[in-house]
Amino acid sequence: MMGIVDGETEVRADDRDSAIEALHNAHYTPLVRLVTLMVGDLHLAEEIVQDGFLKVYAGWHRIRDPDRRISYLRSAVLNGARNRLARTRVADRFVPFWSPPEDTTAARVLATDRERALVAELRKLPRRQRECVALRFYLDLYESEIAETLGISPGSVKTHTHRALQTLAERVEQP
Amino acid sequence: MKLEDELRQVSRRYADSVTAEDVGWDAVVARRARRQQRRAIGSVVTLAVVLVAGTTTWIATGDNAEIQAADRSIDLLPDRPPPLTGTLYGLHIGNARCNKPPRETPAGPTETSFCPLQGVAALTLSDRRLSRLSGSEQYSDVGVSGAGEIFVGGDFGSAVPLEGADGDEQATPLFSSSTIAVARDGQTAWIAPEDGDGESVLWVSGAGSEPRVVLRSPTPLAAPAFGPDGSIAVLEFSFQPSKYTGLTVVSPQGRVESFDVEFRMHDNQWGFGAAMSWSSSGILAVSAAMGVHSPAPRETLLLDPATGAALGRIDGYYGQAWSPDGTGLLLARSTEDRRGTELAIGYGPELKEIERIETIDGHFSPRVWLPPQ
Repeated sequence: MMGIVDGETEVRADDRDSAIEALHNAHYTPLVRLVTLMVGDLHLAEEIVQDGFLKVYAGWHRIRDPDRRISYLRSAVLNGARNRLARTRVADRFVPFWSPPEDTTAARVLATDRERALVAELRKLPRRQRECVALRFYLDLYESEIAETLGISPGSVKTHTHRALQTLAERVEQP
Repeated sequence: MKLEDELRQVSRRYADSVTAEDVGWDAVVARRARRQQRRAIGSVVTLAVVLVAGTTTWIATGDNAEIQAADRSIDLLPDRPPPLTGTLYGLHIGNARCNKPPRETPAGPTETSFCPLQGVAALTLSDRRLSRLSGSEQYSDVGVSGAGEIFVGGDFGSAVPLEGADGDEQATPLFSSSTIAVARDGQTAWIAPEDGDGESVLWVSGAGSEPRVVLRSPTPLAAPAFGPDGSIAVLEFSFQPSKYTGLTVVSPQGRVESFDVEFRMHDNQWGFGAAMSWSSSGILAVSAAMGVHSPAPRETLLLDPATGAALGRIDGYYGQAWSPDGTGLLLARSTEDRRGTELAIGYGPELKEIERIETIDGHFSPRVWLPPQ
């Protein structure tokens, strides 16, 4: 039995290890980049993505439709990123001196204060807005793909993205 | 340049700076997955969380905090502290260090020196013993019924019993965590954002009954608290600016009353930062940060749930729990070296008397104080 993994790579659906390997080859690094954008820490992002792959591996038998594996993987990874951000929030609430690791990537690759502020404010958006913006503008997913990944309607994706853009426009000063 | 194009450009420049050489993972996932699979029972995979139990030390300390001017005095409370008996429940974050080697980054080697391991803990006031009950980074809040049933909030979609909460993160995979409330009779309350129209919804569930919607709000709600008569109070929150703006109280009969409140406190956690509790003597205590940048000063505001009027302010404390008789407020704040928690008791006619009790290791945020069983 054959199945499509990511639109390009065909693997045997009953060969889980091969399929996971194909998913990894196609999506591991892009997902690490996506999560790095959201949490600001490369190594933390790697841990989150690896755990996402573990969840997909463990729940393989529940993903009957091969076309949905990448959506399931993205969901698992976004859940991981959300849990880490929630943990950061709780730590920040109860441990007044604790602060997240410094974002050295922003200092290295973003040239202006406005660009750095844009990434910082992106991370402060409410979760759904943050996820919609990252999936829309970084991964260039269609609204329907974002909706499937997040388990919400395409109309909600539009609403969250619109609100996020409004908020970012208000919070980040014009150049 | 349009903001959309700018976002596209900046996010790509940022994220794509991570190259394939930066990520050091190849067959690790498969190996970990196989190992994990062997350990799994049925289809459930439980990721092990190793908890390091912190040792508890107790040190008596000095200064008192200040209660600032109040709109109306609290004249109901007796001029003596409540008996320090019973059990305090709350979240505890230990001072464990990460067991991770320094790692190479483009900016040089970095070391993660502090890992906030969090969990639910109980502090027995008679012998001042702190016990870790369960630990998970998923927990964002804890509540306890009058019968001692412990519930936790987090990524669960509702308030769930502590027993069995671990490993349940996939139950409602896309839910925002928030604070929860647990009534003496075991009813639980939580807040969920709704998709589409952006409403914030307050849910309540009785023991064994289906959850029901108690309140829908176009603005975000936060920090629910049950009153002694079964009423529920929630804070209203605004993202712009990021601060609390009001108080809404829903009676058991469903009557809704909203009050504008001049909060000094902002919220550096976008609606996650406040905790509220309602005393048996009829006073609300709200603890939150007062700035949008971390670390921010903390304060506890006392409110009259009947009018929304401010009754007093206590600076510097980030956690609180009312005594079972409602005559004292247990307060918590960080020690100067930031590795411990100072516990104090506020009492007296205007809650102006504050006596330091003890200092414990790690960060303990008290939420519920139950009398001796």
